[in-house]
Amino acid sequence: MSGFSTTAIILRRVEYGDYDFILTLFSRDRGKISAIAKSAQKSKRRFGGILELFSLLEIEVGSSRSGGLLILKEAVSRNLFSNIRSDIKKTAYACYWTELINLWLEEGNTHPALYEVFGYVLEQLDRAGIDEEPLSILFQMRFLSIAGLKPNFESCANCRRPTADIDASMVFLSLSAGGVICPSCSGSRSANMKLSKGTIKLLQWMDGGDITKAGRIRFSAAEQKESLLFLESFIPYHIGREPKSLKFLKNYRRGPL
Amino acid sequence: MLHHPKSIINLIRNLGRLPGIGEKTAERLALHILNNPSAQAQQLALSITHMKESVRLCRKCFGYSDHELCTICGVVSRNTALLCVVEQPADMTSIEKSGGYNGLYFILGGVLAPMDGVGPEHIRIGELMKRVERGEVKEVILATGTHVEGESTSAYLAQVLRGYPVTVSRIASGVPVGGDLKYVDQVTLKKAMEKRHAVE
Ligand SMILES: [Zn+2]
Ligand SMILES: [Zn+2]
Repeated sequence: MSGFSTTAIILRRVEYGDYDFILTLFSRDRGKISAIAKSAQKSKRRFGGILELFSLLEIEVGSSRSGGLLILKEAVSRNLFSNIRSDIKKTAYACYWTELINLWLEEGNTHPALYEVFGYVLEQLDRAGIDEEPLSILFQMRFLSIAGLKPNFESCANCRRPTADIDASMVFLSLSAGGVICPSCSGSRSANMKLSKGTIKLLQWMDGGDITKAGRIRFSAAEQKESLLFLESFIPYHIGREPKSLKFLKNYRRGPL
Repeated sequence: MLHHPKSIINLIRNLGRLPGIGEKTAERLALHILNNPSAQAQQLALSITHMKESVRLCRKCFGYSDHELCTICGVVSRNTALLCVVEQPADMTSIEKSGGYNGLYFILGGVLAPMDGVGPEHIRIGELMKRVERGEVKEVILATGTHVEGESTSAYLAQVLRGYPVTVSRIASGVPVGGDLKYVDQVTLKKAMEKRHAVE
């Protein structure tokens, strides 16, 4: 890979030796990439303190002579989302989304749709007075769709009976079956989650169409709670890992200390 | 290096494990020690083991100390109403060197880092609350780093300290003294502009 320019969001920053940083970036044009930022630890002059978690940058990278790690040559900030870091709850949500992306993305594939969604939710989260929870529901629903892990809300995963025909306001779901389980099949499958039909509708709206419209969908407290509980169980189950930031977030919700 | 006797090689290897010391420097140091009086070598060896045996954490600030209280917490002339919260002992040393602060310190032992699984229970937040509960402190100065983890930890601390009768402040970010504005990074300059103050 020779040199190129792209916009990118920092997913991870690790100190490398006494001087350099190794950055993991989600770039619009090249997907996930890793690059070394030389002398960025000591000299703020070169990159101007913008090499921070979640920073949206315009970058120029070049390949090293040995052909290994990419080298960050230049970086200009497009949005540092500095209101996120001055709020621990916002930071925890941003960390969760970032970690999800980093866990799921593999280097070498572009994901413009996911890049778009990630940029959108970070931008919204950075605003004052915005509720974090609906944004997280939006991000998680879109993430599942893009990752091909979308829950099956339409019909029973076992007998294909349409959800609309199930005569109950609360519907059972199974993590392992990946979606709805009707009452007659709930004995045979591990139906370990519950969602109201109303919440399922909202989640489906969140997933489709214009993201700015989806971002305006309102949830009641109960709908929000069951959505988060469902998504935050469904995602770790299907990507096979619980993100560390999700654990942090859950602890935080229980109240500081 | 292999042409040295085994005992010298041994010392070179051990010195080479220290941060920032490569094989060449390690060799130079080893030969320097060898060519100087035995008493000096003995002193060096003793000071290392003595340090390892005697240094512990100060009961009040959790900084390094030879005694129960460190050389800062034990001094009567310091302003006990001011408490400066830092990440690591090295940060305390930096502020001390600046000479611009006469209050006391508290060392958190890290910052919250959700992605690394570092939560409030992994740093000394509970201890900090206990310290503030004792009532002597009137102002807590949050001096964690200005990176994302440092900023968000400081925001978290400000939140949990809200229930206590203390003023909470955050160290300022700004233009370095003696610098040319054109070399100051964008973020710092923006912050400096936002936090400008009236000139009397
Ligand atoms: Zn069924
Ligand atoms: Zn002390």
